[in-house]
Amino acid sequence: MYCSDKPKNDKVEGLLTEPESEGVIYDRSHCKFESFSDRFRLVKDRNFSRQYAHIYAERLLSMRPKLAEAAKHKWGKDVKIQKLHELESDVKCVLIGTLFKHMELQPSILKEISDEHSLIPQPVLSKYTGENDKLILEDELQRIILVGELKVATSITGVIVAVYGVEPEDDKGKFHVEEYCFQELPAQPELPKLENDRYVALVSGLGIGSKNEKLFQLQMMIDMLTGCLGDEGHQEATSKIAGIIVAGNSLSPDTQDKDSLNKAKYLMKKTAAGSVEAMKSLDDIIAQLAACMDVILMPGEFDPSNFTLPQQPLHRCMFPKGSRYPTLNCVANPLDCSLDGVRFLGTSGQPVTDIDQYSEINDCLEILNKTLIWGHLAPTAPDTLGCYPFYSEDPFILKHCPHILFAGNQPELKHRIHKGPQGQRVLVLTVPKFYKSSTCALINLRTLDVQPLVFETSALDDTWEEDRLTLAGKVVMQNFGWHLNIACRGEHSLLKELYDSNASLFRYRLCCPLVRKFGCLLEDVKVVTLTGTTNALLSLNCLEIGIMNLINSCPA
Amino acid sequence: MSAKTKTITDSFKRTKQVTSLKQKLPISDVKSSSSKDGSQREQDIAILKQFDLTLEFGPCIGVTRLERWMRAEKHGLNPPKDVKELLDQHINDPEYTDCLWKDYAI
Repeated sequence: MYCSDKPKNDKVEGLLTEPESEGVIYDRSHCKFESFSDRFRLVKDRNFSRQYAHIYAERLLSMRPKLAEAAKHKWGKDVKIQKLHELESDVKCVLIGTLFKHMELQPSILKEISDEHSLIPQPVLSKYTGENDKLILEDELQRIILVGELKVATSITGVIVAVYGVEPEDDKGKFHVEEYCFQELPAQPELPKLENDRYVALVSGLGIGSKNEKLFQLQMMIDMLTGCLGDEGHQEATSKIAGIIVAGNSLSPDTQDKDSLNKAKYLMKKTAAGSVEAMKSLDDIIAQLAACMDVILMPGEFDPSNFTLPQQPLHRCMFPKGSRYPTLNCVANPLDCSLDGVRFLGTSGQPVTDIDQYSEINDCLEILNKTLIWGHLAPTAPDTLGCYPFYSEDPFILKHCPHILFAGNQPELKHRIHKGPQGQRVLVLTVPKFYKSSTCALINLRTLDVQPLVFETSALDDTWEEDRLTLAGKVVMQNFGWHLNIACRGEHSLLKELYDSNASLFRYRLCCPLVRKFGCLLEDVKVVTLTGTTNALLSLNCLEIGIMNLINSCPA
Repeated sequence: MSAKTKTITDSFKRTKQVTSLKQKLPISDVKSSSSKDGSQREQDIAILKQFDLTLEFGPCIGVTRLERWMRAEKHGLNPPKDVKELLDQHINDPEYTDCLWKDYAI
């Protein structure tokens, strides 16, 4: 099965036989989808005139008892937990409050409007951190500057922390931190024991609607997931993929026309938005996927949903074809759900990208891991990340521990198992942008393993005019042999000699170029995928030429 | 155009538009209570204002006093019970229910 590192290729001859009237049918696994995202849905009240002070007050008041408990576990039951106004000099105690990071380079509306003569807008930087940043702890009444062990570079505004230290007599106004701690990871429900392997695909950043959109790779991925690609062994493996989560940015940023924001409405009457065509393409894609498996669609930064977090689900009226299937679930961003009892919690990547801009942490997986440690999904909301002014609860606080924590639209696919103090095991996963990396992640719900599925196309420029064929694929070197992954698209001609010849001859002709170039043994070459669109066959010469080009272009 | 030039302000009289920050309260509500209740009312409002200014219960702007009291109660901050009684008795009086800064549009 191709989802392991020793794929079996005993069923590849099935591709070269005449199509039977009845083939083997594999039933797709199902998984039960249960949503726990009610707290992210703004259904009842949408009062945007409220101040953001309430969300910070609610955050501090909710998390204070949990931090007090964590502080007592770490520094002993008798440690003094005090408020800032009760602070005495030269007495060691614990303070609990919200962190505020003062950055010079942070874009500020006051700086923008203060010099009216020089209307130079503040530059957009990749990181707004500087050397002179200061860390301040605020509680309900007062604030104090923090120095010492809590490093400014790796901290961000909005995290609730408990610090242990002292305010010295000769340096009043500054609290010298010796140790610090955050909320303890809450209890995790038990991972359900599944008898068979069941997979869930995770993809983000499809980027439809731009010139750089990778429609061929996307179609390859859809064909693979819906079971149109591969021999019987492949199809059996694909039937175990029970669902797909699309984590945001299905539309490309190019669909957002920035000029239309400034132009007068009467000039824009006849122009259609750039996102209309893109949504139609997305609907086609979603309909293909929803016909076969559960699709969970989250909105992202560039999707037609609201700007502030939590983003509301994409409306089903935009999916006329897709919404006819009950398997399409349009959900909010962030997502809190369970698939077959495995708890997923994740976002489309906006909190992680925002933290990346305001701290010196460079690794996106590290940032996601830190949000788990800090106990808050989006600490920078509402300071630098747009957020709805909540009043009665802060829904981003981690109240239970998920099994899988993910963030979409990150630079790379990285994953790690985070181990909690009470034996919790969380799979922390960053999903890359599909329009850059053509990668989707496959998670095994039984073992929490992650496997990347890469749909690279390196020989896309080789088109043969006679057959109007495009051949694409890659040659993958594994340490136990050669794998040839090919996908083909285009018009083709039936080839009688393929029917007559047997599979070993076909393999010989196909794999000769590999043998010639790299000097490996014929037995070591495994043809993993050789497919077209449903039982189509190709001209063998074209195939040979295409494979030669592929092999020549792959790094030695 | 006639010999006497007519301006538009002849047909539509110019009225001064008064925009004030403070919205005028309905005075009838206050005047209807008798003078004895008046001092009681002042005392009540003083207690409520003190509740607003106690920052331990969180920010007061933009929310009603009852909502703020319920939030303080939920987090175990022991807000004073007489404030709740006053609020329950005068549900319809905006002077009681809204916070101290209700006149300022923030």
